[in-house]
Amino acid sequence: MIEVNALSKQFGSFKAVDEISFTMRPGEVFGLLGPNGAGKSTTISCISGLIPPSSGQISISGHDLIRQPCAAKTRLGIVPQELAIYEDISVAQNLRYWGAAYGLRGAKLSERVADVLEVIGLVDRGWDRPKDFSGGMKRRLNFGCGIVHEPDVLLLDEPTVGVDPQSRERLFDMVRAQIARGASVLYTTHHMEEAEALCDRIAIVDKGRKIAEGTLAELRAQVGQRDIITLTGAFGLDPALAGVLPEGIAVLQADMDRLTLETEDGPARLARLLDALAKAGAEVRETVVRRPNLESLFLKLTGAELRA
Amino acid sequence: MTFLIASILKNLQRITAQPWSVAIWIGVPLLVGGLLSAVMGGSDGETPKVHLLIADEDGSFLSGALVDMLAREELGDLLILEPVATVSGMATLDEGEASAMLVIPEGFQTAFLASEPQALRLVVNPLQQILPEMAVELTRLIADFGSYAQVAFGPELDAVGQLIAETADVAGPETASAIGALASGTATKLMRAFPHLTAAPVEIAVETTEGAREASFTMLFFPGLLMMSVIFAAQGLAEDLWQEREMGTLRRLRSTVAPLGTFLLARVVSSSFALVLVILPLGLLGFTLLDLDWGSLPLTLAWLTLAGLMLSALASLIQVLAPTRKSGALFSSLVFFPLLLVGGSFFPLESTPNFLATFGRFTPNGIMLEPLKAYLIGTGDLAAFAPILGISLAATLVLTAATVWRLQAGFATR
Repeated sequence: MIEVNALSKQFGSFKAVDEISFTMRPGEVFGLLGPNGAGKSTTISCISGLIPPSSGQISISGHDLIRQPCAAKTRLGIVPQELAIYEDISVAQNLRYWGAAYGLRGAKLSERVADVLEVIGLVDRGWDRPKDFSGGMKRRLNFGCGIVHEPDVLLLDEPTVGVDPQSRERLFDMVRAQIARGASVLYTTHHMEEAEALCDRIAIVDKGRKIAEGTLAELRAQVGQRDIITLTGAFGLDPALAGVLPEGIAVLQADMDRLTLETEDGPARLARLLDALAKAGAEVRETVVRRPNLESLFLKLTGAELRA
Repeated sequence: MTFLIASILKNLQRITAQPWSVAIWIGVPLLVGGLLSAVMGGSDGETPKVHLLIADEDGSFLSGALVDMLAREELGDLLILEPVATVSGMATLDEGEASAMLVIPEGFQTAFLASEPQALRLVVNPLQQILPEMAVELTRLIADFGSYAQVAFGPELDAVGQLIAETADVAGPETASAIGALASGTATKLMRAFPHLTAAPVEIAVETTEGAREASFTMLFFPGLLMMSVIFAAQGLAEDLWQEREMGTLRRLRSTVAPLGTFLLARVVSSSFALVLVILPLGLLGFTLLDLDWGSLPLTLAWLTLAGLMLSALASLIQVLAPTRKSGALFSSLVFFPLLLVGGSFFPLESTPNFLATFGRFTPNGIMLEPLKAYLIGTGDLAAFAPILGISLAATLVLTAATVWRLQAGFATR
């Protein structure tokens, strides 16, 4: 449904997206996971035709975005990170407007507005203005405006930012409903739990580059069964640490005030590790042990926290 | 088409959702207009009259006839005539207590009857703007009339001159015969000239003076007041582009297949409705208070709506060129506030210094305002609108095209 091939976007000397490639299949949720500033939103902006790529190709349902923009865009629905709705016109009027913007007309448009009102659970509020709605209701309308024309591909750019857990679950249900009707979804997030819960396949991006891609199982396999231990405190110079650390513990990243380590069965080895560090004169203030997950994979691949 | 209609409806709903904005666009000009009219004299129904001093240095039969012509019924309604000596008249003018002084030089009658060139001198009061101009026009009219008479009735005037010279002698049968021949010749010429005289300048002058009669300050200010309202509305409508951008709807629109041109066309249509909504109540009020011809109302509405669209296109371009919403509002004010002041929308151009009025007539609002004002006052005609219609349509198209370019170049996608 979407083929992205060697997509790059450069702003002056800054390369926001660096040769990213991936393919999305029908009925699939494809996650773009990465920290803020990794290039996810720029990638989405290029795919949605908002900004032209510096190089590379994007094809949506077989239509090249640059050469056949209308054909490509009609098959694409977007749910932006920030709300993009009119709060001073009614919910139904919002849906009509965005439906018309995607080329719907007449009975089909009215039918779709009625359907979407049901999908987003705002049938009773169709003629109300969203300005008095809760944040969750506005988010649902924001989602509805992106699916009113029944797109083949739905782009969701960090759709859960500032959303309460209940509304997030409702949003996930709406995404699953789109999958059930055969659409594919490109979902960007920096929340590893969301990616794990929703995505069939995930690409991890950092500093504009794709650093890993696969199903959740495939990515977990890359981490292995090794835990990630993160220590905060005062550690001195890292060359001195090599001889201090107990056997079987590897250094992923070492700074004066922060150590990221990898080991099997982390909780069991923690006491020995802390003892060794104390003997070496290091001061440990905080200890975090993580089981293998996407976040630990990200840590392993980049040495940085996903939520940083 | 569906998107165009949906977009127009969306815009109209959004405009009506902000009744306070519309109230401000109407209310501020109304307040300013009311205050200025009160300060400047308003429209109390008094016809402004030209205070014309007459210094008759000739003291002849013809100079007296000239003054009588100025005092005729139609002109008399416009003029307050005051006979003065030249020196005291100059003093009165210097004190600003009269609009102008007409000096009839000594030897006027003799020169006129001998068909020789003769000059009347009109001294105007530079402190007044409108009334002296009226005096100039009126006296020029009389002078033209005199010149025509001099050309058409040259032989008869010669005969009159001879008769006047002979009145010192004893009048005899020759004199009676000469008067009979003079009367017969004059009557024949008048009969021949009559068809042409029906379209004579006198008729045109009557139209001119009747229009000028209505030119009270409020009358002169009324079209400017409507334009002020249009300018406020145009600025407000253009600022909505920033609101669309900040709401993210403009960016979202760019990811759809809807063309930006259709989006802007919908804005033009809905802006037209908004402008009529603003102009109509002020127009109805003004037409009622000033007792204007109701037949001019549709033209007034259409013309000001067109002006509003051009000014809105200018304001929109300023907004999309600005790097931030605040700077957009600032740049817009920097452009439109001087235009308000200079372009006749805050003060009638008739009450501003000549150099400023000349400049003001070429501002976007001034160029639209002047033909409308002349038409409403009665001194202009429909033909004066045609070239400006072309200019304003071309300007609106160019400004809108530039706005589309700017929207595509990044304003809409950030």
